[in-house]
Amino acid sequence: MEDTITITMNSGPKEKDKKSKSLWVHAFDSLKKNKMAMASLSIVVFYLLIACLSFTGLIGGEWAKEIGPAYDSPFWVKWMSGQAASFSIEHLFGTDILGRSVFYKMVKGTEVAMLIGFATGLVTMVIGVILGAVAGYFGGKVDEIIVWFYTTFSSIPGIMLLMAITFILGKGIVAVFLALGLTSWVSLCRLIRADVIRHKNREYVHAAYSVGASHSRRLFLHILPNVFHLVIINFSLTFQTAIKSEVILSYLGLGVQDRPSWGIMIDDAKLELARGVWWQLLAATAAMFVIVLAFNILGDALRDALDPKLKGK
Amino acid sequence: MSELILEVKDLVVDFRTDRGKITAVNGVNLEVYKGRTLGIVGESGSGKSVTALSVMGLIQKPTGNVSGGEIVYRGENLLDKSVDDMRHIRGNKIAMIFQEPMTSLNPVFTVGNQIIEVLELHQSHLSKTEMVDKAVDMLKLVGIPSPEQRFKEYPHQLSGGMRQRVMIAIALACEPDILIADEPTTALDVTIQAQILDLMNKLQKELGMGIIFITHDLGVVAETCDDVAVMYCGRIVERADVHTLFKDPKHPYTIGLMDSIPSFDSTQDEHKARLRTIEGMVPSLFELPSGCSFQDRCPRVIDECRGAKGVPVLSNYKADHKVSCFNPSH
Repeated sequence: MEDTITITMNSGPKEKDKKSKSLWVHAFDSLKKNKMAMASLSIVVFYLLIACLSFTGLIGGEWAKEIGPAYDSPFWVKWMSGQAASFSIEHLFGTDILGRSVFYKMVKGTEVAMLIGFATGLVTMVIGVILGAVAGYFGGKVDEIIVWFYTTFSSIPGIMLLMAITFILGKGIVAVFLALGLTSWVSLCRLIRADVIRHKNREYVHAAYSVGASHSRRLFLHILPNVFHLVIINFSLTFQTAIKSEVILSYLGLGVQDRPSWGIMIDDAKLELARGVWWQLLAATAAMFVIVLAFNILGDALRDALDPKLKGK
Repeated sequence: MSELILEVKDLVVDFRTDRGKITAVNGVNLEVYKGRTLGIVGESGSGKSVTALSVMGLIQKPTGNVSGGEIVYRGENLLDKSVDDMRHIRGNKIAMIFQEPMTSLNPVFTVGNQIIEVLELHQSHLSKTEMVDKAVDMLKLVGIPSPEQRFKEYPHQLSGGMRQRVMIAIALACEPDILIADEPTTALDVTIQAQILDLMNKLQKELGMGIIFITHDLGVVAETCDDVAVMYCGRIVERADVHTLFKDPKHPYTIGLMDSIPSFDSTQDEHKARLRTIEGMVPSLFELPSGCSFQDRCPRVIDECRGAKGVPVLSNYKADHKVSCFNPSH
């Protein structure tokens, strides 16, 4: 009888039939309260949707088609200067040097950007989590070697390393995200290592050991879920850094080939600007600006939602 | 006497520190019998937890090292077992509950999942639904109301007492032979303490396991234990069954411990009004005096204690009552 009393006092009658929430549901609940974060999340989802549609060829497939004269200005620019022009979505951002629709190139570029962001995030996650977790958990010699490795690695200037890796791997989209992934795992690795060290001596890990759990079970089943919020936050930040870095690589002539990307569009714009053609630059930067901003806000909100130490701030 | 299931023989455990090697447990002998509770009592740092952790094989290498002795479980020395063999014994045959129920459960899993985990590790022949049923049964067994609901809840939704019950449920899920309880009630408030102790006594009667109960609370010992070993500086100084020990303590340290229990009727007696304590401090394990470790705090100290005759050996004072003292009380 005493027990029943304790329970009702602890949980309160309201919570009685409520389903228990996991950490992730809690995090999503607090994310839902943040309007900016939800707006950012819908932008991200929207971009992903466009990327998927473009990937399956439903939209943007005709990006290589000539739709008008070279460097045809957007229809709304014509309106402003008093010329007659009809509304058309493919002319939203005018045409490029070959008369192709800049709008379709931007759409196709979204696919490339999302692919690079996602793949880079994934490569970073795999390397960072595995090395960080192993270093933190086992400590000793293993830890020393991994720490030595990433310290050395991070002391090489990033852009040099990036160029070196793309030169080795050759041009193309796979080379781009591998190069970006291989150069951006260090910060995640550090974070994971530090947090695993913090967690491995917690009593729940000892308790897991005392019921006969193996090393891998303790590390991957018990500790990792407790540090995984770092991975999510880092993923969203790596995603947008990768999109920005793709632009730099393309600008250096090491980017993707045979298909439009925002980086290539910006790279083209450096010659066009002299001739007064600015719409290609506008289209690429606007598309990039919105997604990078959205990811930044989302990453921040995720950190607030997932890091228990910041709760109730 | 009932069946002997675990025997610790001359156990020695060392720890390497920056200041040199210390011996946290030095020649400890213990026996655990089926259906009986062995209490290990002592101050902080007396080696009681380390003894228990050694039985579980939980001493963290390379800092800690079991450098001598045997831990014999049903005729087999656990210290000779391989890592894999030990994994099958831990949680299955020998289980442990910890001091801090607040941090001993993984915060990101439901309590049900954490009970199922033990079953997955040691009773993998069960189907998923059987495991769920068994986990709910375990929650019911440890007296958690509406177990089906609690099964789905996370540790932070439970109180300390409830969490300790869950820990006990996890420990008992595979019906172990031996349950090691390392100060299981220290972090709980007194009413909950009593409930948990009652629960453990009840479960022992039902399941018949041997319990090693580690505590520094003599009240708890009197309540739960059948046999008691008093530890001081890594050694057992006195061992007897609980009635003998409380009625007729022989070692000056045990007597000191008994005297330090606050008594409610002491107010009537003017000179007994103040709480009595054992004078002095536990010596540092780095600089143990030669001879008896208790010599500097002992009211009955004699010349033999100062090292000329070495360390006092745990020897029979009477049958089933052992004391390691050169000058035990009469």
